[in-house]
Formats: sequence, C-alpha cells, structure tokens
Amino acid sequence: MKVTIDPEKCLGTFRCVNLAPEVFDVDDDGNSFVVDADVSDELAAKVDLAVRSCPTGAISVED
Amino acid sequence: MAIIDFDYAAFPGNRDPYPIYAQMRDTGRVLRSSDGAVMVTRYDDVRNTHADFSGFSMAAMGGDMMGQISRADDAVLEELSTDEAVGLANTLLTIDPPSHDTIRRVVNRAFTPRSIIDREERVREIARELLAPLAKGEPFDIVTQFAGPLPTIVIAEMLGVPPEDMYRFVQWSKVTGTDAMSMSAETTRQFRTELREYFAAQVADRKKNPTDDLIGRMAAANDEQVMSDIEVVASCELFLSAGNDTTMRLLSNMIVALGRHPEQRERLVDDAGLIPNGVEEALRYDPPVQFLFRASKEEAVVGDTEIAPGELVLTMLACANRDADVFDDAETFDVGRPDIMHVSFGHGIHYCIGSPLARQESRVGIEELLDVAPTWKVLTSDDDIEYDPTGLLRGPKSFMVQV
Repeated sequence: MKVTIDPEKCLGTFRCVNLAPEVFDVDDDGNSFVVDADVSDELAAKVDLAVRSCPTGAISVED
Repeated sequence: MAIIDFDYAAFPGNRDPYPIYAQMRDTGRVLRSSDGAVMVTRYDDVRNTHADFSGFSMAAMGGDMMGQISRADDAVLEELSTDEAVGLANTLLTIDPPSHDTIRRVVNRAFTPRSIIDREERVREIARELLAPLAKGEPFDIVTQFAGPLPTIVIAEMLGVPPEDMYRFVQWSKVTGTDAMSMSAETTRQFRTELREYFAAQVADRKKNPTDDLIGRMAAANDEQVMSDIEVVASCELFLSAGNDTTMRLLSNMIVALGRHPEQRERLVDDAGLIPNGVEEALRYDPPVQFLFRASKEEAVVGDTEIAPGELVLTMLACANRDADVFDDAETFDVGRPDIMHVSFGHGIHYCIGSPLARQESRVGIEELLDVAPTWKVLTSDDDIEYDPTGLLRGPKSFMVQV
C-alpha cells in the first residue's frame, strides 16, 4: 500500500500525524509529509482512519 | 422544508439541547429554524456542506465586501482608526478561495504544529499553577480558575506578550469572547481599541526586530506582503476570539461530562493513554461550537434539496455528532469509543486552524487535573449549572469541584 499527500490540499491540521505518527510527520512550515510511503498491513487501519479524517481529503492510498 | 421550533439566535434550551437535536434528525435532513435559517442536521450532509466551499460561502455572509475596502482602497483605510480598520479587515473567517488559500498559507507558516509541540511543558506548568488551589483542597471553579485562564495565558505567551504586559493583555482578551456580553459598551470599546493598537504596535516592531514568537512569525511569514498589516493584526486578534472561549468550553464540558460519568473518569485515571481519545469523545459528545454558518450561492445543494441563493445555512455540528447512522450508541459518553470522526472543528478548508493547540491544551489540562485530583467531588448540581443564553457556544459559566 502506497500513501501520498497532495501539498496543494494539505492544511497542516496535524490530524494524520496524531492518528498515524509512524507514517506521517509535519515539516517546520506546518505541511504534512509521508515518512514512509510503503505502509505495512498492520498500519493500514490507522492510515485508513487518517484518510477519512483529513478535512480536505489531501491523503491518497494506492494498493 | 419542515419548520422546527428552534431559535438559533437566542436559544434558551442550552441546559440540554440534545433532545431537540434528536427531534431535528428525525424530522428531516434540511430544516428551517423558527427564526428563518436553513439547518443541515445529518453527519454526511454537514461534511459535504463544508467541503463544498463554492456552494456554501463564508465571504457571501458579508465579509468579503468589507474586506475589499481594506485591501483595495488605501485612501479609505487611512481615514479609519486602527480599531475601525481591524474591524473591517479580512480574516480566514470572512473569505473564500483563492484569497483564503493565500492567507491560510501565511498563517500556517507562523502557527505551526511544531511551535505548539515545543511548548507542551510550558502548557503543563501553567495548568499545574492554575490547579494549585484545587490541590490544596479549596473549592475550585473549573471554568473561571482553570479552563478559562489556561488558553488565554498559553496564547498570550505564544504571541510573545511579555510578563509585564500580561495582566492588561488578559483583560483585553476578554472583549474577544462572551465576557464582553457582561461589559459596558464603553469598556468593550476601550479594551478593543487598546488591544488592536497594542497588536498594531507589536507587528510594526517585529518587522524591524524579528522575533520567534507568534506575532514575529506572522510578520515574517507575511514578508511578501500578501496581507496588509491591518490584516495581520486582525489575524492575531482571531487567535484570541476563535481560540480562548472555545477551548475554555471544550475543557469545561469535558470536565462536566467526567463529573457525571465517574466510571469514564476512572478509565482515564487508570490509563492516561486513553486521554487523547477521551478528548475526541468530549468534542463529539458536547462540543463548544454547536453549529457553524455559511451563506448559500447559486449552486448550493444538500442531498436532493436545492437551497436558494442568499440563505443563511447552519451546519448543526453537535446534532450531526450524534447521528446514529455514523456513531453506535451516539447518546452515550464513552471515552474508549473507536474512530471518533466528529465535526466539531468543522470540515474542509475552514477546518479549525487552532485544533492542534486546542487538542494539546485539553489533553494536558485533563492529564494534570486527574493527576492532582483523580477523584473530585462535584459541588455544582446539574440543576445549578448556568449556560450562556446563546445556542452557538455551549459551556457552563461556573462549575465548582473539590478534592
């Protein structure tokens, strides 16, 4: 599973970092980025919740 | 559109608005309030309404028209006092894309999650100092002695207000919240003018002498002058008006809920790791902001209902948070509830920019409270809790507890 963030849509709300800190982090300017794009199956549920929680739908996942 | 007996502007039922929200969800997805607003009641519709920022506008409520004066016409602006100009200036709350995106980018660069994370130990210190009278065994007002001062002091320090200015700054801060309702018009005007002139002087100073506080970072983030100085001042004021009262009510409502549900409090005492989830549940169960406002434009649609242009549309957040299609046992306060995706910070591009700070202050506040007083007794009975006579913001005016 591969995770990406659309920087144009990201608002830097920090929600994804709260929900899946293993996968997401935030830079000094407040923009989220993906730490490790290849996500293990164990983290899939957390990433799914982050995708659904993102207020602007900035996170996408490909199988 | 069915009409429901609910007066959003002066809702007197704030002691417990949840029965009428249940009635709203049962009555229809889109309703009209008795005072004429359109209300969106269900969870998915509320999220979709917020996501559709071109159909449901912030600017169309009047903000943009005023903002155009402050940006486009310097001659008009120069005639105004600082106080008047700030009152007319654009903020994130009064504009739509594309200008919203431009300003949000500037504010984001200043008000970063990192700058919030780095101050966590200081937030904890402030919480601990405020809780000292409770720790000593005195009767303690959660609202006025803890939940109110905590966010006010935290944001003042973040902004870079020095200790010698702190007292008067905290006094001025009151005009940005519901405390203003009990002030004389003259005091309100005086405090607001002093606050705005103080911010304006600080912003001007930071442009010459950069600092790493929030005012300094706002001035630096606006180095390309995409905002006017007056708009920077208005944004600084928005940190207070959008953050202080709301966080106070979030913490207060959570503590009231924990007081009523001692078994839930015990779960948080036994496992402090559950506190962040408990904060999310408190946000869902009894949010500080009960609904938000939009103005409909030509293409506004909720589900299969077309909404005429120019309607005032209320997204009923607290009502949507108890939508049984989304939340099991939605009326139950359960700090262990999984996947809590409430809409209490909104949704879409206007999602609360202060949410990382509100979440941190609430988590740290509850951690410290439960450390000082794992079991407190409630001195204010349910019948004696007073709420402000407004439907918009919900929280007790006072809530007495004792170890």
